[in-house]
Amino acid sequence: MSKKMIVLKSSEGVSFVVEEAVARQSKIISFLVEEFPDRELPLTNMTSEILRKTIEYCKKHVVEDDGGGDSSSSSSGDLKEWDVKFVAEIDQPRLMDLLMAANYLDIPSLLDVTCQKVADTIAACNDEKEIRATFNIENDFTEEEVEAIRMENQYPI
Amino acid sequence: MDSISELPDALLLEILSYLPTREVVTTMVLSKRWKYLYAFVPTLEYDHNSYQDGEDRSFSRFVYSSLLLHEAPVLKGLTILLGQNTGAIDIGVCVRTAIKRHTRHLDIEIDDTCSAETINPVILPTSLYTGCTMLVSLWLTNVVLMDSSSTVSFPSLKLLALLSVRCPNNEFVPKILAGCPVLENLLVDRCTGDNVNLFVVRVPSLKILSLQNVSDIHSDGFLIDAPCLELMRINENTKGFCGIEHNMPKIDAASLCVTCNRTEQILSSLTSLQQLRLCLMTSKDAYPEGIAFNRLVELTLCTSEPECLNLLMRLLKDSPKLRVLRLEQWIHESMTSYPFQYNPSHILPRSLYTGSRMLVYLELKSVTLMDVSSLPSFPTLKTLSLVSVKYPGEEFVFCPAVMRYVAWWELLLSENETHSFCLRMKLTATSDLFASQPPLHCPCLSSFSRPRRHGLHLPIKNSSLSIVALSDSDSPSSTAFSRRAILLAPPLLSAAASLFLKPSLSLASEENSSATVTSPAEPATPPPKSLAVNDIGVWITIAVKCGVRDMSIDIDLSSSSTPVILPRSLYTAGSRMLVFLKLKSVTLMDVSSLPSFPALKKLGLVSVKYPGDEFVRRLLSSCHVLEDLVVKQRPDDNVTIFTVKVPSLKRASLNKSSKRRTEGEDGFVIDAPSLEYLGISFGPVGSCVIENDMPKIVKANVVAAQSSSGVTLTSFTSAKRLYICLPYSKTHGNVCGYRTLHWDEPSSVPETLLFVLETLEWKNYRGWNIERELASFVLKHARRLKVATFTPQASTLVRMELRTTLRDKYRMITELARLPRGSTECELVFG
Repeated sequence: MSKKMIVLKSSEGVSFVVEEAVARQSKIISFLVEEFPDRELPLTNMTSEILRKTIEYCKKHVVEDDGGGDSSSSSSGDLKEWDVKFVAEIDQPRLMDLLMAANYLDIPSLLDVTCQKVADTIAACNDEKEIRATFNIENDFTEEEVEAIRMENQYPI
Repeated sequence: MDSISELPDALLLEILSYLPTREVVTTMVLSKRWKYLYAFVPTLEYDHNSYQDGEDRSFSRFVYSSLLLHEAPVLKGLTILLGQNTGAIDIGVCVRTAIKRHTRHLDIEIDDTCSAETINPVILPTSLYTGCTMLVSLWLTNVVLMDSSSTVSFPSLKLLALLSVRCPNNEFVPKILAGCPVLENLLVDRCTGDNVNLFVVRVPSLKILSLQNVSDIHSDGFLIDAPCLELMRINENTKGFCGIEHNMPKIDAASLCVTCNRTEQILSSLTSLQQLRLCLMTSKDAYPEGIAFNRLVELTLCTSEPECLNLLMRLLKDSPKLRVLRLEQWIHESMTSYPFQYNPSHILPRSLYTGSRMLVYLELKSVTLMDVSSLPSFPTLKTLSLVSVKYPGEEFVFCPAVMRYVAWWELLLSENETHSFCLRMKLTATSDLFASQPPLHCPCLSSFSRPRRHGLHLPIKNSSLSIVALSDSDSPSSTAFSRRAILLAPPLLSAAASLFLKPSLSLASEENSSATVTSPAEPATPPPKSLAVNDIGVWITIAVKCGVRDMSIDIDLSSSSTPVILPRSLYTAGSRMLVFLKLKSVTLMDVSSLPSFPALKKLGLVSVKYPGDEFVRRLLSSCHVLEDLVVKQRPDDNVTIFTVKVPSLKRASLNKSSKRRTEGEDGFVIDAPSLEYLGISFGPVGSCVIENDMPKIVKANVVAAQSSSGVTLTSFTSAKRLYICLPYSKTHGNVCGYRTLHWDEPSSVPETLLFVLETLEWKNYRGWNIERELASFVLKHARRLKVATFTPQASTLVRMELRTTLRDKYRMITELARLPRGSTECELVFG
């Protein structure tokens, strides 16, 4: 018996045909599939590139029905490794897009890895200047304002 | 704006919740966008390790001010990791904050090992037990719990971890657990001096339990009453009481490492298990008689004493569904100083070899295998792992009780199918065989159905033993192969496919140490066509890749009519090393490229099905050094004219089945000027055309049925021995018709007859006109003929006609004797 496929459409109008089990990792898609079966699902706020990445992740994480207990336990470590590689290969703007996509589509595990990746990047910075440089954040405070904030909060940063 | 600041608040807070609070606070000076975010991050995580020693004051100041300034209405998580000396933090303040903010996850850990010398025990306030209505998970590590007069209440708690927690008294743990109505996970690591004697777990809702107590041999043990338990891990190093109060019908997997003496009651509560890991100090009366583990699939048994193996035998007997078995020597805590000490007493009983009919997975660790006289039988085993195993000796492998490895040959797997291949190795008696070897990916044990007849004799160099792992891209060159002493046994008869093939594979390495592996025909249920095809294909591909010199493929067709199709890879470049090839009852596939057998000297094609006439011609023309050819054509092999054009051919034996019923042309075309021996026989119909003279021919046997028009004796001019059997009648009823036939005397007399022929043997001489005329012709012209023997047809007539036959004989003799003879010294013999 062939598996049921569903069609996802990116903002550029590119259609992606995905196995239902893969796509159902997104709670939103899972809901939409039940509400509107056999219809193309438009994801207008998602580029083809990000959608392709998201599908790649979901394909890797889809739980096979016939998977034996032994194999899944052994592969969980591999899966983590794969996740780390997966997010490491993405540049920062796309990581943000992917994070948004994970949030929008409600894929908790993808949201988790992407948030963790951003958090790790922040944690790797020594001070706020490095964080600004890493994420290209424009400092719209004056020196005095920063000083005032520190005084006000009295944090021994 | 930069991309991270474009994210909505909720997502930024989500990201920040992955950071320790100290890092979070840094972000408020990044930009105005970030200024107030930090205060709403739903998790707080304080770690004393992020502060240097002596910075305790700044740590406590930071914790307090952060707690005070925090504005998130609901805390998802609060994590406090304190050092042993951090007395400055009032843990009570933290707990109260957690309660006020409806914390879901609370984790309080004191960074210290469980020891009696704890100077400043961190005491948790009693307020913890009552106010945490929203708490879902609670982790407590190295803390001291205070007694509380009020009742404990954790109405939402699902997970409770008590790691090295000290309780006020023995009754306190049951009191806490009684206050957790929906608790599902309980993790307990007990420590010395925890003021708990018997650890009682009585939680009706509990699903997962882990109970560890490794340090205190004098504690009282445990009592478990959790009827809904699904997973259980108990590691209890105690001589005290171990008990399970109610059966656990939902239990799925359990790992039990217990040192207590009485385990009957525990094991009899766990009969629903699917997975069991069992490490017992004593295996005597491990569980009562009459109990069966009807769902048990996976068993790991740690052997700590020889009697454990009796337990193993019982478990094998009582677990009808067991598929996976792991055996290892239990390294007990008290033996950790000699972790690799080998205990030779752990000898596996002989009955293991025969009593494990359903096993698919067998893992043996640090055990000794015994020699057995009977054959080991693991008909379903797919995976065998032997680690630090001691074998009875080298002979063990070669004696019938062979441990045979079937490696998973990944490169040759088709997408969906699993093939297994036998790799038999000569095992040395050392226990660390595998330590020095490349790991077998998925070693499998093949069927032992008839190992006695799987004769295998291959001298392997004692020095080196290795497994050649073929990868699909780069096949090992033939030299690499010969350097490694490896042997491949045919992949058939694996548990999955009891093939009906009758293969015999010969391998020869460069030292000419040849090995022959033959397997008996296994007339089993015919496997699906594709399986047989793929199996033989894979097997040939291996052989070809290994540079096999001799190959013989023999399919026993009697048991099935399923055709076995040989893969195209046989013909292509890989077969450069092939010297001897014998194919029987197989089907050959057409190839677009030219077949190539540059080294082939002997070729046997018996009952082979071909794609067509043209293929045969191409196949044989690709064998440039072929010397021997044996062909037996079956009735329906798609070839009518079998063309043999091989300049190098010296010996040929060509045979067409007498059952062939080909309309139209059927026969042989031979062009082999180097031929020394030729044997041809063909059935009721057929012809033979010899295109060139064969000056080197020494012996020729031609047996043909009627209308063998093409056989021209001129081609055999140099034959020293010639055996020709010309048309014979098919049925005796038609005899009269043949008698009237006349043989037309050829216009020219062959040279052979004139100058060479010395011996003439004529079997089944019947004295018919046509025969008499031929005999007269031969006798007249053969000038060198020394002996002419005529044997009359053995009488097949009924007894009444016997007299006439005798009379016929007499007539024949007189007729022959009267014939003129060309040779003066010719002796006429009538047999």
